[in-house]
Amino acid sequence: MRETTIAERYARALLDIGVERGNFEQLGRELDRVSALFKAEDLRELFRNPKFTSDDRKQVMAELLRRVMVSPVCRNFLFLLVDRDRIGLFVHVVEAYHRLSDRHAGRLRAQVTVPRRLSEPDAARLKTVLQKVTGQTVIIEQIEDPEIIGGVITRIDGKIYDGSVRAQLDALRAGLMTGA
Amino acid sequence: MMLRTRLNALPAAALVLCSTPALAGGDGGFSTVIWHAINLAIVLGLVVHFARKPIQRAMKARAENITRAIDEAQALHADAKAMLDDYEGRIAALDSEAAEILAHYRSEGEKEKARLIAEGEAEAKRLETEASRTIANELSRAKQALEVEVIDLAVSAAEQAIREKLTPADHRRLTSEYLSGLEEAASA
Repeated sequence: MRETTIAERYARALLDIGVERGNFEQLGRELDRVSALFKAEDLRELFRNPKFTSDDRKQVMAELLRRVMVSPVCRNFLFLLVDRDRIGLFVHVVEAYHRLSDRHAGRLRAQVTVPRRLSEPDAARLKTVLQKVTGQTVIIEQIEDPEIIGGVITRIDGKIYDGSVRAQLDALRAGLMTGA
Repeated sequence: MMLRTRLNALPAAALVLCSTPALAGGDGGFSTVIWHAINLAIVLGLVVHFARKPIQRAMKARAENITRAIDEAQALHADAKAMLDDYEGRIAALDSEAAEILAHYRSEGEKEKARLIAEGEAEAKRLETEASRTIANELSRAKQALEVEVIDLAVSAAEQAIREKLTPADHRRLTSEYLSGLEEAASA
């Protein structure tokens, strides 16, 4: 079974609990806080490497959760992932959780790639126009990538609005190639 | 057989006749010559009397043998001549056949030569065409690769220039233009 499918199954189970208890948004934020810790390569390696036992991983997880305040539901969920040896899929689980919770809440998440972070007014303007286009509440996630040189790329609801300098250069190159 | 019997009697008669000079030898001179002549005549008479017919028969038989031999020789000669004619005919035919074969092979050789020349020319033409096509393809590929390289270099240079000259104000302007474009699309 594909990792994303497995991750989505766990995410859906957690979302069901969160919806039932009315705290699915809070659970999403808690997952984000833990996910921020998982950006450390050493930590990801520890949870991937089979030479570390389940008890080792639980100890590390307990130590992490002492630093990050999470609800008992989130805590139990994380230990369940460790027990079932699925903690390696945690990043995918978080992505799936946000996707499912956004759908449940009737909102869309937009990945906005920029060479440098948008100013608050520009971000708000973008959010407004995207909400107008989609007819749903939009959450902006900014991703900084200097490779696009300038401009903005927005990915939302399976669509891409590419206004980057990189895209213009690629178009220029393609046009020159066609004429060549 | 009879000839042999009569011939056998001749030595005895000659012996009798040769002894007569000895008997008459006592007178000498003319009488001796007479006796010799008589003896000779007697001998000749005896010879003619006894040997004529056998000799005639022998001569006749010999003549017949010779005639037969001549006939046989003539027949052999005729056979040999016929055989010679036959072989000469065959040789002539062989010459003719050889000439025909030679002409045939010469004709085939000419045809084969013409075919080989035609094939060679066709192959040379094909190779020339193929070489021309290969050269054209290689040139086209090289030209295309050069064009791609030039375009890549030009685009890279443009990118480098943009990166160096892009100011925060340009970023804001690009973002603003992007947002305006989206707003126009949303309003449309």
